[in-house]
Amino acid sequence: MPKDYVIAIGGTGARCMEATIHLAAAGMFSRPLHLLMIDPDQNNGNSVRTKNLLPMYHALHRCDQPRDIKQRKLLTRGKGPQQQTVFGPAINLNTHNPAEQYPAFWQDPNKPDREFREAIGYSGLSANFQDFVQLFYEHSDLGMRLGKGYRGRPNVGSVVLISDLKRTIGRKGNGLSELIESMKADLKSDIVRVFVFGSVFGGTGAAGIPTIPELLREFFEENGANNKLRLGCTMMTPYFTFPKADTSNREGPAPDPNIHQVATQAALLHYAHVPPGYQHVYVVGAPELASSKVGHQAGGGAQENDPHFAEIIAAFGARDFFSLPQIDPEERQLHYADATHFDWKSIPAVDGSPTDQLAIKQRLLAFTTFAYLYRNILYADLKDGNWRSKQAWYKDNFLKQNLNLENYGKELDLLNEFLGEYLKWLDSVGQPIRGEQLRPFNWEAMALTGAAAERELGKLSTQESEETPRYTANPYGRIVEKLSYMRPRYSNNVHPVGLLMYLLYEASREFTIENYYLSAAN
Amino acid sequence: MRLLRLKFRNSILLILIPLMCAQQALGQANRIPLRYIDEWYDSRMMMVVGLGAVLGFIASILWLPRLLARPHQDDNRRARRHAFMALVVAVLVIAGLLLLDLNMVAQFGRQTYQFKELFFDAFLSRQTFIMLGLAAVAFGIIVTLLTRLSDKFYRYMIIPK
Repeated sequence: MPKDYVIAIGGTGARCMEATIHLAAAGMFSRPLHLLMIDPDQNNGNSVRTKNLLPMYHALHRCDQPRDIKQRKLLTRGKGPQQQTVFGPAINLNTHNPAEQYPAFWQDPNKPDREFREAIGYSGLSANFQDFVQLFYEHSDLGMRLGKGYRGRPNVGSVVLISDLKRTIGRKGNGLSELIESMKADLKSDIVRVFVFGSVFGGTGAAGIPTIPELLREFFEENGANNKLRLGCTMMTPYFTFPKADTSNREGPAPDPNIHQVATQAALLHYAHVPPGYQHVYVVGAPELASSKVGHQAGGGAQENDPHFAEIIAAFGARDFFSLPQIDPEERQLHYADATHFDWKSIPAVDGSPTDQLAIKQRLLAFTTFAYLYRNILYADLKDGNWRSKQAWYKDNFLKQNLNLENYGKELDLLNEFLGEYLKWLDSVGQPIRGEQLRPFNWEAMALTGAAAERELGKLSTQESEETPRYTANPYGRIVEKLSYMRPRYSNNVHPVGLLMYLLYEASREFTIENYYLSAAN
Repeated sequence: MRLLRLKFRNSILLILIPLMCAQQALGQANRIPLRYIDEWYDSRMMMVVGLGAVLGFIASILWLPRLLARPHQDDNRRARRHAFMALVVAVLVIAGLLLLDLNMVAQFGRQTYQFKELFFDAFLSRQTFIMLGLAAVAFGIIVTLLTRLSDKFYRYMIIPK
C-alpha cells in the first residue's frame, strides 16, 4: 500500500502535525503515513511535543489488533464487528526493521549560532554585490542567528532553507533522506501524494511552503518521476497572537504579531503571482485570534504554543486531500473553511458528505470516550491482575485464549501516556472557545480526574439537538455491559494490549453511537 | 466474610431448630393422618419445583445486579450475594404460598382442620422442607445455567470456568 506523505514546516506546521497524529490514532487516516517536520529551530517547543508523540504512537501501532474479525453470531445484537480503527495506519514505519521508525524530524547539522550572513557567504561577496544584498536585507537580518528559526523573516528563510535542504538531502539518518528514499520507492509503482503544513504569517512556514514543491520537483525531475507527484498544502493564516517582543532584551530580529495580517497578505499575493505549484491548497484560519499563553518567544524550547482548533481543521485538510479519488496534475483548487465557529459541522468532511461527517463525529467521540474511560477509570484496575481475572470479558478474550496482560505493564503505561496527551491536547484546543454554545466537546471535562471524571464519561459532547445524552447516570456500566458481550474471533496472532485497545474502543464506539444518537438512522 | 457467612448460617439454624422442636412436641397430638400429608406432598411437589425454576428464571433476568458507575472490586461476589438474596426471597415466597394453599385446602379426609393444626402438622412437616429444598435446587440450577450461558458480566459467578 502506498504511503501518504506529510511535511510540516516551522512551529505551526509541527502543531498541525500533532493534530494529524492524534487524528491518525482516532482512525481518521486509512493509508500509512510518512511524516517529516522541518524546522531550523531544532529545539522548538512545538516540535518537541510532536516528536515525543511519535515513538509512543509507533509502539502502540505495533501492538497487533485483531484482523478479519467475526463476532459470535448469538451475541452481535444486530451490530457487525468493525475492523481495527485506533492506531491503524503506520507512521514512519521502517520497512527494513519494523521495530524502528524513520526519523520524523529533519536533522540539520548546522551550528545553532550560525548567522544569515554566514549562510549566504556574505563576506566572500564583492563590495558591489554586498551593496546589492543590502537592498533586500537590513543589517539586523544579516546578523540574525538562524538557530531559532527565521523569526517572521520569510525573505531570510526562503534563501537559507532551500540551500540547507538541498545540502542535506543525501545524508542518511536526517529524516529528509529517508522521506525521499521512501517516496522514490513508492513512485516506482504509484502516484504519490505529499501534503505540506505551514503558516503564511511567520518566517519558516511562509518560506517553506514554496520551497518544498521546488525541492521535490527538482529532485524527482532528475529521477523522471515528477509527473507522478501530487501536492497539497494547508496555508495557515493568523489564528493566534502573542505580545510584542521586549525591545530591551532581544537578540536580533523578532517575530512581530502586529504585522501578521500584512505579512499574510504579502505572502498570499506573492503566491498568487508565483504559484508554488500545489494542486490543492487549503486556507485555514480562525474567526478570532487566540492569545498564546507562553507570551513572546522568538523560538527554542520555550516556544510551545497551545494547540488550537484551526490545526484540527488543517489536519482534516490533509485527510481530504488524501481521500480524493484522483488528482489531475494540472488541477489547481483552493479550499477554505468559512465557518463562524468551531463545531461538528465546520469540520470538513470528504466531499461535504453527511455520511462522512457522521463518521468523523462517531470516531472522534468514540476515541475520546475510549481515552477518557481508559485514563480516568480503567487504567489502575487493569494493572491489577486480581481485578482483571474476575472480569468475564477478560476471561473469555484473554485467559481462555492464553493471552495475559501480566507482562505488558509498559505498554499499558504507554497507552495511558498517549491518551493523556490526547486529552490534554483536546483540552487546550478548546481553551479559546470554552464559552461557545455549540461545542463539539465538553471542554470542561477534558482535564478532570477521579470521581469528577467518572461522572462526565457520558457527557463528553454537547448535543446539537435538545436531547440529553442517553446514559448520563451510569456510562461506565453501559460500556462494560457492551464489553461483556464482545467475544470476537479473528485470524491473526494478536498482542494482548492490541486486543485490549480493540475491545475497549469497540465498546466505547457502540456506547457513543447509542449515547449521542449517532446511528445513521438518526 | 467467612465470619459473616457463619453468622448467617447460625441465624437460620436458630430459626429452624425451635420450629422443629415445636413440631416434634406437638406431633404427639398429630391429628392429620400422615397419608393425607403424603398425598398433599405428591400433588404439590412438581408444582413447587416448577415454581422454584420460574422464580429462578425471573431472578436471573430481573434481580441480578447491574454494573455500578465505577469498577467494583469483585462483581462476581456482588452477583452471588444478589443471587443468594433472591433464593431466600424465592423460598420465603414458595413457603408462603404453601401455607396459603394448606389454609385454602383446610380439609384432609373428611375433616376440616384449624390453622394451628395445619401449620404444625402439615406445614412444618418433613415433606414441606423437602419441597422447599427441591424448589431451591431448581432455582439454583436455573440461575446457574442462565447466568453462565448469558453474556452478562457475572456469567462466571458460580461456575468460574
